[in-house]
Amino acid sequence: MTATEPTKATTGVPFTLNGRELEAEQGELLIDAAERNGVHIPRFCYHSRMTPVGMCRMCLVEVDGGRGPSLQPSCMLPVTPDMKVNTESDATVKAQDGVLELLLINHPLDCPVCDKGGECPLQDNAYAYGPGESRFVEEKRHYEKPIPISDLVHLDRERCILCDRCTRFADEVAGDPLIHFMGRGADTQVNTFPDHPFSSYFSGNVVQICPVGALTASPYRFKARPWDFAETESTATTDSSGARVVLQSSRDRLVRTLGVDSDAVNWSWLSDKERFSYEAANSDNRVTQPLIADEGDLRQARWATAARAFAHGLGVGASKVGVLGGARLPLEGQYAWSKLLKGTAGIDNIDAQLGDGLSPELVLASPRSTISGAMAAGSTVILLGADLKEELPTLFLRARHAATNGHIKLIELTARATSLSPFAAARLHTQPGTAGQVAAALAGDETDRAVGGVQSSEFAKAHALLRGGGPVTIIVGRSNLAESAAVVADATAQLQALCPGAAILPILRRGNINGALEMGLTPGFLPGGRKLGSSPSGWPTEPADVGLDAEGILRAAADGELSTLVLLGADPLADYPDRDLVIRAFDAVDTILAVDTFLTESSSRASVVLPAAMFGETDGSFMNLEGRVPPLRAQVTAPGQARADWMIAVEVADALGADLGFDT
Amino acid sequence: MPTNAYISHAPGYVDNEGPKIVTSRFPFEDSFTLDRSQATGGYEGLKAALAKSPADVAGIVKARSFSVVVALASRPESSGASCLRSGPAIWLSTATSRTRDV
Amino acid sequence: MERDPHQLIEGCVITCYALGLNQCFLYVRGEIPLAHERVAFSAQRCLCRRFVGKNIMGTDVSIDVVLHWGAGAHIVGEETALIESLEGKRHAPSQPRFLAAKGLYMKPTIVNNVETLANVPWLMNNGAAAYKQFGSEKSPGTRMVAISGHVKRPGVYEVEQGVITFRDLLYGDNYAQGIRDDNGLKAFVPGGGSAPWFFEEQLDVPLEGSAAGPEGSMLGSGAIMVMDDTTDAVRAALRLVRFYARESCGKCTPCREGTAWEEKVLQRILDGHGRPNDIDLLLSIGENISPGPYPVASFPTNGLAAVPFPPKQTTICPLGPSSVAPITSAIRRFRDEFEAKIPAAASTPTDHAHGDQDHDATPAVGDHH
Repeated sequence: MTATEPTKATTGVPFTLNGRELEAEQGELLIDAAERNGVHIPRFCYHSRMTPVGMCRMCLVEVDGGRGPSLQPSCMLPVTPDMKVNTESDATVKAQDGVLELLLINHPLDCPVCDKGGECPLQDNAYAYGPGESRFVEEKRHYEKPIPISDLVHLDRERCILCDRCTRFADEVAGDPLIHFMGRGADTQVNTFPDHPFSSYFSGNVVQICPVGALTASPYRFKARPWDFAETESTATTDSSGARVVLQSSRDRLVRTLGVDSDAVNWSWLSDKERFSYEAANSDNRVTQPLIADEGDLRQARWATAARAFAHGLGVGASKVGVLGGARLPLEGQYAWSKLLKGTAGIDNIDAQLGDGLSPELVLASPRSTISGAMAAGSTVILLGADLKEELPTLFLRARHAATNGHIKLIELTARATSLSPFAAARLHTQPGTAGQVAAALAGDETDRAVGGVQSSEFAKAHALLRGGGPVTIIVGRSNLAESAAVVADATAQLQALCPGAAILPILRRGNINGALEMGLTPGFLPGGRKLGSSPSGWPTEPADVGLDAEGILRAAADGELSTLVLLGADPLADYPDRDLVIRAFDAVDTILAVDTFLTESSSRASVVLPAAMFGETDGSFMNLEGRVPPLRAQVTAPGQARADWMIAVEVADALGADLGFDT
Repeated sequence: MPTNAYISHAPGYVDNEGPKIVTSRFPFEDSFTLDRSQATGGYEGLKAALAKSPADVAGIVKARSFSVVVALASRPESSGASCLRSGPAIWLSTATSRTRDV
Repeated sequence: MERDPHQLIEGCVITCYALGLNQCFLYVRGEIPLAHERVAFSAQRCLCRRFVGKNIMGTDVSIDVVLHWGAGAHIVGEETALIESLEGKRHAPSQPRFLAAKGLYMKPTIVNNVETLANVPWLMNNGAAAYKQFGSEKSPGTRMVAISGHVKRPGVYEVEQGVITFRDLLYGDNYAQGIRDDNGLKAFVPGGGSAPWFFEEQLDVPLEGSAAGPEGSMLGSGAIMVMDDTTDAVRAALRLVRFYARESCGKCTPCREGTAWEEKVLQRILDGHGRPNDIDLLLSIGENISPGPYPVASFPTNGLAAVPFPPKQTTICPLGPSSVAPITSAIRRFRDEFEAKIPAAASTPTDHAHGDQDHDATPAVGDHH
């Protein structure tokens, strides 16, 4: 049977699957190799993004590795040359039959009221491979029906088949081992330690990967049935990682968000913020009508009236207007507002970052890395300033995976320990404000220095690592808002000089902030990262001078130099570090104009509020921290008269007598 | 320490005729003490071993246990042929076949 | 460990020296506190006398001995489970891996049992040739067996391997001295609860792994359990299966669910609530844990041949298949007893002596040292 021809010049591993001669990749697991070749092996515990454990035994197949056929778990077995696999043999079928029967003996038959019913791997496998009838006549295992293990997740231990997916995720992927197995034998159960809830930033993922209905998310429980869904693939906009998601709706309401396994970005994981923020769209507190202030009260108005009032407020002269916000908008909305404000009204006092970001020069001019590039084997990653788990949880999972698996060397240049510190190869914990000096010292020849409060041994490690070759990525963020952004910028520049090929990944708060900078919603720039005045924009007008940033705008407003403040989805009263300054600015200006999805503390003080469609209600595109532009999709209709942001810009331009040149 | 201060032996061992390799000290009431051990040749083996090279010591043990490995390899607890290799791995196979006793 | 801990410690140190290891972990199961106490005390004494630790006996050899007390689980006898437990995780076996490459804390590790290591000092003193004088050619040396159950003199014996037979052990004056009350022998477990049962026909099998295997069982841990003819086979099987159901770590499905199910069915039969197809059900559950014919001793009366050891398994470790051993053995030999307990199937009552005992007639399950 063995092929006698000379082996081809290939790295593939030849093996036989159900009589077909196939090739697997080096080290590829049998379950993956079979899947790639169109043979689905049933499984419960196996998850391609986690270490295989071979616990459920559902993927047993008959394998002959040269010593006669035996049943092997295909999720634990790398394909070896000339392995003969039979996924349809009597022994395989009998084993899978048996495992399913055993899994079902204690599984309750509450499928009709189970959230998972209709999309349940246990249900599907039982139909496809199961024995059909149970011979189990005893009482099933009983536990208290769902117990909350966190604010968001409920656990029904009766339904649990103990596949170790959730516990493995919590321990291995998220690093929050707050749920684990307890007891042994048939009394084994998943649970939390008493008084230690599963309060992970990533708790929602365990609901998604649970192969049965044991883990359910409280926002979704009993809201819909899977066969009623309409769904579309979109992008999470709560932070700038740009995680890919599926938006699922039932009766025109968003009911669930699932992570999509995008190789480049989120590997199917989502933070709870990304997963559950869809609920905001369904809120009863949305702004659904244009509102105009009338003697202290905001009253509903017609769109044309409100747009005219908004245009009137803008028309006080370019130097008298300041605009805050813009990071919530899709790229299309950002461009439209940029063209309206800069290209039509000539305003440059625009800042999408509220004093908590990085200078647009740094972000727009530095070579940009990708997540996968930064986390590729052999890379060195310098974490400058930010704590990834707090800022970009999805990127944190990728970095944690890369660091714990030894793919990357992580150098921390932060003011304090971060969530990645345990995995860092060198920890340069500087005194606040001294990151630049430490970076400059790293460029020097001395390998052993105590500078900026950094331990000299850690300094020596970093010094050596940076000279070890390999691509370098600098993850740039702010460690705190008391420290000036210039400190980070200085340190970045020093590191870029030290590692000439180093690319950056900017860690900016706010969703589509990278898009906002790219579209010119920042002083001194026009769309495409072009500097003001560097080349003709082709717009009817252009701002005459470089405008003010958020701090400048608020100070100018407080000093009475501005008469109109525009809030483009911004809530500076809640979101700007210096609340006192914001209050003074709000008190000093004549007019506050807002485009918002909710009546926030800030927008409720506006004289005109235009209702905007939000995430899941409008098509568009997003730009993540890599510069990747994934699409945003509308899945439900916006409530009331809320409109897409670009439409609002067109409406206001119309009221100003201008034409932005867009067609619907 | 007087012998009668010890708590009694766990019951079980029955002294009988026949070769004694493991149980040579078991008949003594204070079999578990260092004094008894040293009085009956305890740690002489260690002294002898330290006088030899590690490879020689391994050789002696290998010489006695090779056939044991073959005999025990058919047991379920042994994790298969991967253990049946030369060198220290031989230790492994006797171990894998008998770990239940630990 | 209770009787001669120094022998073990000496064996550990010699082994570490021979293999160039510098760290030795003694994992003592939680069920044997006396052993733990004595090993701990002895290790301290050895440290003082420089038999372990830094610069042993004045040489430049340094070997640390670390004592670890388990929480009490049968399955930590499985080496991967032992390593997981030693690392502070749950006592679940992981997929077989080559521990000499990646063992404890992913470092090269060798796992050995106490008896093997206890042999080492004697071997160093007397040499391999002297050792080989004991036992048979295939199985040199001695081994410890623990005879329990219905014999006149139960206990732990050191016996020569391959030379003596089970008949010598059970009936010999030097050993167990016969069945209690001179009753007949019903069955005996030759090597721990996971070994398929042997019967009268196998009494002349020598005490040697290579001889027991083809006969359908194994010597395993050396725990021999003897049942006389007053024993209730169903109750005995239940007792053994219950042990495995309780000791299953719960990691893989067939063992976790299967052993518990077996226990429930057996309990039901024993309680008189058996169903006509329960015997087939038991065998079928066994098939799901250990596919293919399960090792079992021959039954010449019915013309049934032995199925040689070892069993196949759908599980990660052999604990699940172990629970099948008492079931297949008992059902093959004493099917009539099972049928007699199942109401609907008991159309022809049998006159077996059972059900009149008010005590648990089966021997305790567990390994003795």
